[in-house]
Amino acid sequence: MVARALWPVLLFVLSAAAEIAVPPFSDYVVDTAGLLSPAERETLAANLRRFEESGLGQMAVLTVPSLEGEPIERFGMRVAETWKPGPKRSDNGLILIIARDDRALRLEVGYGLEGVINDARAGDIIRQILVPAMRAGKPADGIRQAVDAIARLIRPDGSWVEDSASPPLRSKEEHEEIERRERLMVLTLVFGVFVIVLVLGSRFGRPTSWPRGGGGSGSFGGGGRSGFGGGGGGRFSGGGASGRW
Amino acid sequence: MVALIIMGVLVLAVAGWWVGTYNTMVQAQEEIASRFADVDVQLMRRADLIPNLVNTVKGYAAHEEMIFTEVAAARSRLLAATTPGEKMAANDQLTGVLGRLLAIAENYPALKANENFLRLQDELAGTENRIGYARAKYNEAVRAFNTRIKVFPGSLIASRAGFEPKPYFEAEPTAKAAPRVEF
Repeated sequence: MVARALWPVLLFVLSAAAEIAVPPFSDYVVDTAGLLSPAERETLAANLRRFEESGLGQMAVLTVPSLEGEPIERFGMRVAETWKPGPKRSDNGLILIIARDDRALRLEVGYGLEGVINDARAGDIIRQILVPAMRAGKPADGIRQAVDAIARLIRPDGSWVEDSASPPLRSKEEHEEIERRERLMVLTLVFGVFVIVLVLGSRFGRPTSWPRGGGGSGSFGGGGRSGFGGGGGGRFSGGGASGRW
Repeated sequence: MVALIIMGVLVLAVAGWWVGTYNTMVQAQEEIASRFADVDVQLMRRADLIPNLVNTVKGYAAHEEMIFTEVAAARSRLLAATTPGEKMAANDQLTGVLGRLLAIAENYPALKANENFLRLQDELAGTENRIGYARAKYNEAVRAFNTRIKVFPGSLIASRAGFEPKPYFEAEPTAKAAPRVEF
C-alpha cells in the first residue's frame, strides 16, 4: 500500500528502462493481450460507440501483454498523449488499461471528467468492479460493468441503458459528506487557478497564454457511423486511479 | 542606389528576425510560467487532502502523535513556500513524511480496510501522479526555453535582452531514495 501511494512520485524521476510502443488507436477496444474473445470485443466496442454517441464522452479500452517494467501511470499518460480520446472541447476522454502479466489496471480520466469521476471514484471502480472481475477471470464482464458505472456517474438521471446487470457502486450515502468536501475543494481549486492566473498574468504584464500540446489531428469523432474516427484531441493531466489484481 | 536598397532590405530582414526570435523567447518563457501554475495547483490540492487523511488515520491510531505533528509541519512548509525551488523542496519533504505516515497505517488492519482511507489514498496517489506529470511538463518547457536562448544566433538576442536560463525541477536526492517501495 505504501508502494501504491508513493510510486507515482518516483514515476517521473526514474527513467523507464525499456518502453513498450503504444499500439495504434484503431478501435474502441484494442486488445493486444488477447484477453477478450472476438464476440466480447465486438459487444464492448458497440457499447463504447453507444457511450460516445450518447454524448457521454469517448472511452477506450487497451490491453497489453506486459509493461516491461514501466509503471502503469506513466504508460497511461503516454497512451493518453498518443490517443487523445475525447472531444477536444470537453476533454471527456477515458482510457481503461489492463496489463495482463503485470496484473495491473489503470483508469485514465480526461481533464473534462475529473470533476465527476474524481480519483476516489475512479478508485471505487477499480477496487469494487474491475479487480474482482479480473480475479474471477472475467475481464469482459468487468469492463462492461465499469462502463455502466462510469455512465451512471456522468448521467445520474438513469437515461443510460445499462449493458450489464451490475450492482451500483457501494455506499452512496456514506460518501455524501466527502462529496460535499470534494465539491468545496473543486471550488477552492478553481478559485486558486483563477488567482494564480491573475498573479502570473500581472507579473508578466500581459494575459497568460495557455498553449497546449498541439496534436489533435482534428479527426471527426461523431461523424462516421460505420468507421471509427479515432481520438478527438482530449486532454489528460494524470487523473484517475490504478489497481492490481 | 541599388546598394542602398539592398542595405535597406538587409536591415529589415535582420530586424524582422530579431523581433521574431525575441517574441518566441518571450512565449517560451510564458509557457514555463503557465506550466508552473499547473504544478502549483496540484501542490495546493495535495496540501488540501492532507487534513482529511490525517483525521482518518487519527481515528484509528490516535497515539501516533509524533507523525501527525511532522505531517502538519511539512504541510505548513509547503503552504508557506513561495519560490518554485522552495515549493518543490517542501513537496519532496512532505512526500517523505507521508510515506512514513502510510507505513504506520500499515500496522492498523481496520484502517487499511476503511473505505474513506482507501479513497483518500486514491486521491493522494492521483494528485502525486499529476504533480509528477506537471513537473515533467514544466521541465520540458524549461528545456525548450534554455535551448532557445543558448543556441547561436538566438543567444545574441538572449544575452542582450537579459534572458537567463531557468532551473529545472529535479527531485531531491532524499526523495529519490524515498521510503521502502516494493515493486
